[in-house]
Amino acid sequence: MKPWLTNLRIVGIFFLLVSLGYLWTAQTIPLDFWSEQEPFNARSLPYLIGMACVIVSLLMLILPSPTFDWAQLLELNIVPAVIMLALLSTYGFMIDKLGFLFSTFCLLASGFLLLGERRPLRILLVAAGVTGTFWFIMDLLGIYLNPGDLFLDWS
Amino acid sequence: MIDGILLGLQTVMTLQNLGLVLAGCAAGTLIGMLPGLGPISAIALMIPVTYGFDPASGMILLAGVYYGAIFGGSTSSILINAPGVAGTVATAFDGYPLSRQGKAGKALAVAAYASFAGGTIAAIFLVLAAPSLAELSLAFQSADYFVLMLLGLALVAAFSERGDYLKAILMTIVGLMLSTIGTDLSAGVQRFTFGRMDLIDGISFLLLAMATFALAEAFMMVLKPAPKAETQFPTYADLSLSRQDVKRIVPSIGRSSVLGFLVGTLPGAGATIASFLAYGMERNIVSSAEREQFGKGSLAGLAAPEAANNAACTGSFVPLLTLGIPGSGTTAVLLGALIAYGVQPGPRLFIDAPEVFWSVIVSMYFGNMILLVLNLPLIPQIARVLLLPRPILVPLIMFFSVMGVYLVSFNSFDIQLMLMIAVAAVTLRLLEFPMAPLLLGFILGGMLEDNLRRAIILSDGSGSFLWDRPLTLTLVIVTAVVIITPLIRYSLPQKQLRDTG
Repeated sequence: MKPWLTNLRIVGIFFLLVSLGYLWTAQTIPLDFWSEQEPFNARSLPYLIGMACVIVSLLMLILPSPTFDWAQLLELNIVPAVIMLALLSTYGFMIDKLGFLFSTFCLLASGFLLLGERRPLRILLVAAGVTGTFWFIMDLLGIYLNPGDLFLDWS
Repeated sequence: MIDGILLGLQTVMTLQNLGLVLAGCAAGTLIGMLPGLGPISAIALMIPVTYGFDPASGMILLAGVYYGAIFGGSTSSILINAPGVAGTVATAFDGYPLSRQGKAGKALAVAAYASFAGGTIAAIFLVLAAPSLAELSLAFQSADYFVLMLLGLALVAAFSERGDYLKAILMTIVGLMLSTIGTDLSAGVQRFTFGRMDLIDGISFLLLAMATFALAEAFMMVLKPAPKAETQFPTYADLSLSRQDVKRIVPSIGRSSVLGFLVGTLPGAGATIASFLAYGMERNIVSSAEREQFGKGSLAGLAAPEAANNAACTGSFVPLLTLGIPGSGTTAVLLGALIAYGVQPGPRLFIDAPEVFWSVIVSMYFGNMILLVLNLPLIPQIARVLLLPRPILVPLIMFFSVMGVYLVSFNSFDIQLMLMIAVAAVTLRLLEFPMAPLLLGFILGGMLEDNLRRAIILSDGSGSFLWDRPLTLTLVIVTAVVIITPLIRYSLPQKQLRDTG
């Protein structure tokens, strides 16, 4: 007996719920009186797309589905990926506060270290080189990169 | 026409303008190669530089940037599976597997030859047939565009692996869903923004492309470290093509160039649809043995979208120069540049500024030649990117992806949104769902809605626009066949489905 819950069906169930939520939200799109009378308004395409998504999701649940090797997912290197994600997210929050140069250098250096680079000189040179070169090119192109709110407040 | 070509040659063959073609191609290649910076960003960045020139010189430079960026985008698609532009997504299907097999040099050489041939063939077509092709484009109405876009979306799903058909359809629909986020420009109302100001303009294509391709690919590299053998990239990139290789790609290039040019002339279609259609068409035409190789490193599968996207770039100049309608996002930026120069594109461009019209056309040929001469000798150097160790390469890809998006909006919310989409994309990729249909659905979503709205309003709310005109009806029938046939094939022979649950 093959397991019923395949990758296709899990995603099918997920997008069935998403499409129902999408359709529910679509009917809350604000329309004025005139738009409501029009044959095509801001809700029309979302309704069509939402219904198509419901149909395809249901087909995924009903039609035969090849089995999926769940065991392969256990072999993934999840921890460094999650830490890298956290680093990038922190970078997103910090780029305006700490400035491009400092936050980019920290992101690159910590990323290299996290993913297995162990030569300190290479880490420092590449992180500083890429950060500086990027800053220089953007400066040449006349694109302003924020030196950081903290730096601006201090100066 | 001869007078026009001579006028174009006279304008282009000055030291300054030849230098501008060269500079444009070089700058475009360099910028386009960086993940996230496609031709739109490249052209937008270069527009201020051109303000000091006359309109013809400015357009010559920007056309060079356009070609360069497309070629640069193909390079990053092949080397690191990071298509900076939608037009080179299909290039990654076979280019990246070739690169992973240690044939990066060959893949880049095929891309260069195919781009050159596609661009050159299309430039000749443009000179010969611009006026009549403009008339053909005019014959298309909103209903035809709507159905044509549906056909483009359906073809991507139809040409996916048999078991992947529903997955591709679902991803296309999810792309369409994402395209509805933001302000509906016709009514001025917000949709699916949940009150967030950051979502009022919707999700940018660049953000979605970076999140689902470059960033997701970088995360996949972290999640699934390659076995040692795979990380040993060749130190020397072999650029040579065997006679057999040439035999395999020449027919694909010929067919795809014609298709790419024709699709490119249709306003709204452009390089993306052209490359996907060419890929799909080629996959159906080639022998079954070659078809097996599609998606795993087929030379024909690489040459077809490359020739088609370059040919479509040339084709997209037809509606821009003759009708004043941009055929793609990139030509929309070019349209803005022309207007900024004080030149009004449209049917009167032939009369009012013939030197602009003809010099752009002639510069296309020169641009393609320069790209081949410039890029082929540089390919071994470009391929050296692959020698970067993964612990260095992966954070760099992530950084360039994030900066590519951040530099457009300077809004750090975009970085967080990008990360959220990347997590979803990685999850879906791990569950073996394709991302390219999502991107195409997203890109075409806005245009699909505009054309459907126009078609419905013109037919007074009736669905008769689908069968009123023979052209639309033909497109509808073809689209229906393309959607339904794989579905029947998918559901009927249940016994043959491997290990069904």
